[in-house]
Amino acid sequence: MAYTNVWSTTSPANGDPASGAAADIRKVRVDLYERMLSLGIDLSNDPIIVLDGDNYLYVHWSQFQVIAGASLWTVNIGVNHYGVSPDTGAASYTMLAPLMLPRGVEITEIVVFGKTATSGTITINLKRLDMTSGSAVPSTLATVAIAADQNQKTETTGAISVTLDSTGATNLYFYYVECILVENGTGDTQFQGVKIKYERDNLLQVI
Amino acid sequence: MSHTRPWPFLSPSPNRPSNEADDAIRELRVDIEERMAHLLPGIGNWTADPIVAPAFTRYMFMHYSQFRPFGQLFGAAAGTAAGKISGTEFNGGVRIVGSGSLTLQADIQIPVGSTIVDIDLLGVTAANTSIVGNILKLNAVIPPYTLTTLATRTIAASTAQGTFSLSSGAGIDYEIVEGDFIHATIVLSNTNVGNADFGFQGLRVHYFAPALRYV
Repeated sequence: MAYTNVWSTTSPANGDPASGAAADIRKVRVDLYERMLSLGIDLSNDPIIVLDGDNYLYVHWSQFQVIAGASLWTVNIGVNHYGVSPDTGAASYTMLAPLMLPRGVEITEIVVFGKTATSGTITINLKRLDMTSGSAVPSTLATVAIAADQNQKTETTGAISVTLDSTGATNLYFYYVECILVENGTGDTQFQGVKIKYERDNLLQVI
Repeated sequence: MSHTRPWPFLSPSPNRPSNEADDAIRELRVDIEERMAHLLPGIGNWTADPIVAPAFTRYMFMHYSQFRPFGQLFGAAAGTAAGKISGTEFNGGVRIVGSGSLTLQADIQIPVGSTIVDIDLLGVTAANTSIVGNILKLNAVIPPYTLTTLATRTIAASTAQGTFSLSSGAGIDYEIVEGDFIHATIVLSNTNVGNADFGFQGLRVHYFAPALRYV
C-alpha cells in the first residue's frame, strides 16, 4: 500500500499558519508509523514486537556432525530425495548440529524433512546441554519424528515455545539439534534437514 | 516499562490550542524515544551525538558439533579406531578413542567490527589426555597472508571439568577487521588405549558487537 504522504523535509513551510500545527504533527505520526510498518515494526504495539511474524532457519543435513554411527554415508540423489543416509546395515545413527540462532529468540516450531525405510525412523531433538554446574545436564526441549515407512514427508512439533537463554555470563548453555536416524540396511531412510521457526523481540537479537 | 501513551494517530486533536503545539511536539519526541528504546534496548540516551550503540556483551556458545575433524571426511571421524571420535560422550563432551590425537576446527562467525573479549574452553581431562585450544587469525588482505595466534591454552592431563579462559584471564580484546578469518582449533589427545574420561563440550565466545550491523 502506498504511503499516505510523500516524505518531506520541507513541510510544514515557514509560511504555513500556526493553526495547521496539529495537523502537521499528526501527519508526522502517520508518516513515521507507515514507514516503520514497512520495515516490519508496528509502533502502535506496546511493547513493540520487532519483525513481527515468523523467521525461519533451515539447517541442511551437511551441518550435522556424526557422533555415533556408520563410517560411510550416501546422498541418495538417485531416488530424487537428496537426503543423507547411512550406508551400512540396520542400526541407529546419531548426528548433531549446532543451533546457530541469536540468544533471546523464541523458537516456535521445528519441522523435519525426510523419508523412512520400512522399519526406519527419523527423530529430531532440540537439545540443551547445561554445563553451569560443571556436570553435564542435558535436556530435550522439543521432539519431532517421522514414523517408519514414509515416503517423502515433513513432520512438525506443532506450536512450541523455547526461548534461548541470554544470560551467557552465568548460564553455560549449549543448544544443538540431534538427529537420530534408524536404518534397516536398505538406505531408504534419508534426511534432508530441519526448519526452525523463531521470533525475535528486538533488533539487538542478532549474532 | 509501558509506553506513556498509545501511538496516537489522532493527536494532537484539531481542537488543541495552537499555543500547545510545543507540548504536542515534545509528546511526539517522547513517543518516538520510548519506541526506539524497545527496538534497541540499551540505547536510551537520545541526547548523545552521535547516539552510542549499546555496549552489549554478547556470548556465543559453540557446541562441539560445530567443529569439523581436520583431514577427515564427513562421518569418517566416528568409530572405534584410534584417533577417531568416540561414539560416546563424556560429561556431555566429545572425545576420541586412544591412542592418538585429532584436530577439530571451526570458524568463529562473528561480524567484522566486533571485539572478542575472551574465549573460554569447556572441558575435562583424564590421565594421559589433554585438550589444546587455539584461537587463530588468518588475515587475508595482502599476500603473503599472515596467521596469528590470538590465544592458546593447554588443558593438561587430569584436570577437573572447568571453564578455561584461552587467554588465561588476560583477555583477547581483539577487534575483528576486514580480511580476518577468525577460527579455532582444538587438539584432542589421548595416549590411553580406548576411551578415557575426558571431553570437550565447546567454546564460549565473549564479545561486543556494534548494533544493527550485519544482521
